Amino acid sequence: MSMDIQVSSVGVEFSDTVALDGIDLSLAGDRIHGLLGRNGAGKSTLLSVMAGFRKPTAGEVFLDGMPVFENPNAMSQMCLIREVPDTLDASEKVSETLALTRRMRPSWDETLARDLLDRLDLDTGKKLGSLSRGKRAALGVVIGMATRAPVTMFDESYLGLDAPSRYVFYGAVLADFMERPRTFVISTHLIEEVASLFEEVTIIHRGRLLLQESADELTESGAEVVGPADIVDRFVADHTILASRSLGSTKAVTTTAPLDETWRRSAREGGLEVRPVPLQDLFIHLTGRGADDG
Amino acid sequence: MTASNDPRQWGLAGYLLSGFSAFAGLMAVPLFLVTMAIAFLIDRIGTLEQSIWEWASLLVRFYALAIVLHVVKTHFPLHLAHGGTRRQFLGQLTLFVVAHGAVLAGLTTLGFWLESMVSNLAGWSTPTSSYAYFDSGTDVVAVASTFMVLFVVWGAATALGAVSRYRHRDAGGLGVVAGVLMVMAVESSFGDGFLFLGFIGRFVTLDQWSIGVSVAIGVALALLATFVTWLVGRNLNVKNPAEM
Repeated sequence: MSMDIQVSSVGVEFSDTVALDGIDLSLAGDRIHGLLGRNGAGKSTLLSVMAGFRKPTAGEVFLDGMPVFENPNAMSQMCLIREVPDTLDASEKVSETLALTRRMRPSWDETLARDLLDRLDLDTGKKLGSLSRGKRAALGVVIGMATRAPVTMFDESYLGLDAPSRYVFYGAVLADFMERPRTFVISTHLIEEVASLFEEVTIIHRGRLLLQESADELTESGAEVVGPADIVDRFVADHTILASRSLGSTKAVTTTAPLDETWRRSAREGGLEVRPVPLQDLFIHLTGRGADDG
Repeated sequence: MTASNDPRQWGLAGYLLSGFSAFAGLMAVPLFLVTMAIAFLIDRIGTLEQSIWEWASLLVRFYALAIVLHVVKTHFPLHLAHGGTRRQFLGQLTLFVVAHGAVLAGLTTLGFWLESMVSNLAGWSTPTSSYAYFDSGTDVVAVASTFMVLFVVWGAATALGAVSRYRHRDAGGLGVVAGVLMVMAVESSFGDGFLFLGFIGRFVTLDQWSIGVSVAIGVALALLATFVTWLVGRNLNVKNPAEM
């Protein structure tokens, strides 16, 4: 079931802070969306509003045209897993949280849950209070995946996982998405690691929507040019440099140069290698110092 | 999915009730045995004048309080995280407070009755209660009515305090104060002293009070607490567990 999310002029103000400032956004259903932003950009607040956890100060969120806030028909289609997942008390066991979640989620997939518990090496007999940060994150991943909610959102919820477990998570998202498409919204700081999953990328900065594009278009909006330093420097002299790294006489420069075929061919003929722009470099450029100046 | 077969709509109160009632039942057995042991010792060294189970029932009040605090703190965010709404949760919380109050009242009444029976059989002096509407634990209807109302008001007042604190943190202390005043009022109306309601006694003499009046006061307080809880909780934001 494809479910589109419409965020309409959503604003959230805390006592002395504007967390979200009139965000308009449309997230197409059955896609994997990446939600990026620096610390304090408003990602968690936006996800909380989208999931109906928080009432916005202004605007509204719709799921397939239905208002989300306090609408059981919309909220039951969504699942937001936060960095520390919502569970029972520390004195309760992992199995008890899973049993309660299973009870509340008619779409719960027990086979998927057991598979992920096994792959993430999570002992269901353990008390929640005794879990490490990584294991709590693993529990959040299991819950988020196994609920099979048509809209599943992970708010940096897997950051506590170690590298092998994170790759289990990425694999699980991709495999499950291929088998039974649903809408994923994944906010992250580990951009390079997860970038290949994203079909759409949304970047918010200081509570405002900075950019929303397909991941392909975004990575083709610039290029990483690698080769001998002097040739690279000559080649990108007229372009905006997003990032630059050198190793000996070899240099890699990320630029917003146009990626038309003529430009590519002349770069290759000059002995340079041209790659798609790394999403992380683009993100740093867009949200770095001076980004507010336009 | 229709609303009627959604387990979130009808299941939370039942889920909580089954778990916490079984736990309360298990805890009641050792609590009763301890009170009987204390009664036995007092009877050996002196005269058993007041019901020991009455003291134990104080613990039951705080058990009711702790359970409602737990439900608000833990099950509210979980309920929202898994597709429930605030209004559904508050409805289920109200159902749970009433049903759990009934279970605790039943166990407390059973304790008073058993205490009377054991005292009679053992030939101990007959313990009396300090409540206004019953002297003996064998007056089952009065005992059950008293504790049903007390536990429901304790539960509803705790829910008000807990939801207020969850929403407003320190400023939510006002809800806690309101809840404490409600509990004092209902305790006074069922106790011997009428401490809190003493000012009403200037206009209504105590002999005009009946259990019906006290029950009505309790029901009114529970309804008031539930209404204010609804007002405070209907747009409650779910806090981030990482910040709690």
